[in-house]
Amino acid sequence: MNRKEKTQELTNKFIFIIVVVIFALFCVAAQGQVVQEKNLIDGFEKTKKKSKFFKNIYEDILKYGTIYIAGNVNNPYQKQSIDYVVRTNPSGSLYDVPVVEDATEYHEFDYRYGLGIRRIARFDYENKEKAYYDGTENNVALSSPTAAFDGWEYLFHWEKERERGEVFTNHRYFLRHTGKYHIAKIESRAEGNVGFEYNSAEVRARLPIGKKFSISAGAILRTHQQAFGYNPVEIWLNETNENGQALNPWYTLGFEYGYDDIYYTQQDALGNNISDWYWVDPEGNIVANTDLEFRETVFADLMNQYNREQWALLDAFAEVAPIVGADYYVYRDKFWLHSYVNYILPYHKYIKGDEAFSYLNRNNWGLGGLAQDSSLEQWDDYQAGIVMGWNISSKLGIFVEGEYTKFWDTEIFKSTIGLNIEL
Amino acid sequence: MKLWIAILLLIPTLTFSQSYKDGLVVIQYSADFVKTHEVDIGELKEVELMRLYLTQHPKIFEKENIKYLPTVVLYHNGKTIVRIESDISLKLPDNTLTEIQSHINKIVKQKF
Repeated sequence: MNRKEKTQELTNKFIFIIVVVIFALFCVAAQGQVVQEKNLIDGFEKTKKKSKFFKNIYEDILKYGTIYIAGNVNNPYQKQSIDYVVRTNPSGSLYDVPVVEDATEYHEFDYRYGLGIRRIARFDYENKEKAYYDGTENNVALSSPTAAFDGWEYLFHWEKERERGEVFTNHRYFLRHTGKYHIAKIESRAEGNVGFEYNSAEVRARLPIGKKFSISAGAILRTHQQAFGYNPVEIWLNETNENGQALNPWYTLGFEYGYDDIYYTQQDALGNNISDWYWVDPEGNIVANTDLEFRETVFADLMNQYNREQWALLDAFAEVAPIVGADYYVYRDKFWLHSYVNYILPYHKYIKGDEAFSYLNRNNWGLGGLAQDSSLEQWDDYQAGIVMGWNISSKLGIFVEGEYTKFWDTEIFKSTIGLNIEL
Repeated sequence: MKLWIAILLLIPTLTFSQSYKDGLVVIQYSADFVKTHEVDIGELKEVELMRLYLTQHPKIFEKENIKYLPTVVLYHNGKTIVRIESDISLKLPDNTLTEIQSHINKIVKQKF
């Protein structure tokens, strides 16, 4: 780990601690208000139980929590067909009987092991997936803005997995406090196999309208790793001098990584002269016989490597923005409906990362780099979900589930609709 | 697009009436003349609490068929889970709160 990475890690930790402290103070203040509460709602005198902070830590935080340690081992992915290649017989020449080899890629078995502690309430329409927790659960409460239970909810999960021979480390840390008039949440996720990293913290004031509907408004802090719209290799390849000539011809990227091209000419059986460049890697091995072959094979990998290296030089981004939301929840044995919507308003302010590479400049990068006199461009992010079920009769039921999320350039949606007829 | 999603999701909110029995709620049905016989439902945990008085909500008392005062009822999503009524001396059983709390614990535990 170099000095820059160490500094970045320390900065991240510092921001995380600050957010946790603010979060804790907010929840203390919110809980303090509950002690005073005794009011009229819907025309009924409503009595709130008295609660004191630091009293009954077990009941407020640990009760209903579950510690789990779990692991699994599975068959690895394997192609249906077996691939063979033909190799020159080591004791002969190209025209001797060759050796046929199995070139199918075989992986070691897949595994996953992890541990965690969780206290996440399920909504009434959700069934417990298994008789135990193993860290693979995905409850609606983890994505919906509101909770099925007022108070502290958390999930601290860490795991290591091997998939198709590659080992990844994943985590999901989730902490939320929900009260009648507030929602406060901190989340951190990392999915190694898809290169996904996301951190967020949000605090909202909540206004219940009746018992089923509530609206909320507050602020959200989010991070993203990707410099959207910034394509380093494209910019590098398109740099030109005052005469409009390329400053960095495409093949010079090969030189940057230690490859070299060697000119050759030869005469074929018909007497034609053929000339081209063949390419060697840093160890001197021939990797392509022509420029075209090099560009279509090795060069494509070098482009991606260059982009990854340039993106890695950038710090992660963190931005804050106002957020509003609404949710509706009703549950009966024969009918249930849970719908929610979150809207992050287009007033994003970056507090970490180079703003030149931020999402505000996603459309300002192009040939020649960042466009001169470009203006920052705000954007809308939103998320909506619905879960509905209706047992029309004892034999017939219909259900609809769906969630749509648009965050930055990412769109995620999932939906299910169907009916069940009991025979 | 987002407007349509918002409309689609929020329309149902206008189509269903509110109910005082939604969620997990304990209601103590009472009247001014039996106030001294009420139990302190404020001791119950992890549940919403309400007190209804006969003079203020006679229709609800009729609808819920409340015949003894005080009466304490635990509802879960509109369904009656347990109903404890006072006896001839207008007193609720000594274990009223304990019994209700045990039902609450069972229901809340099932959520986790």
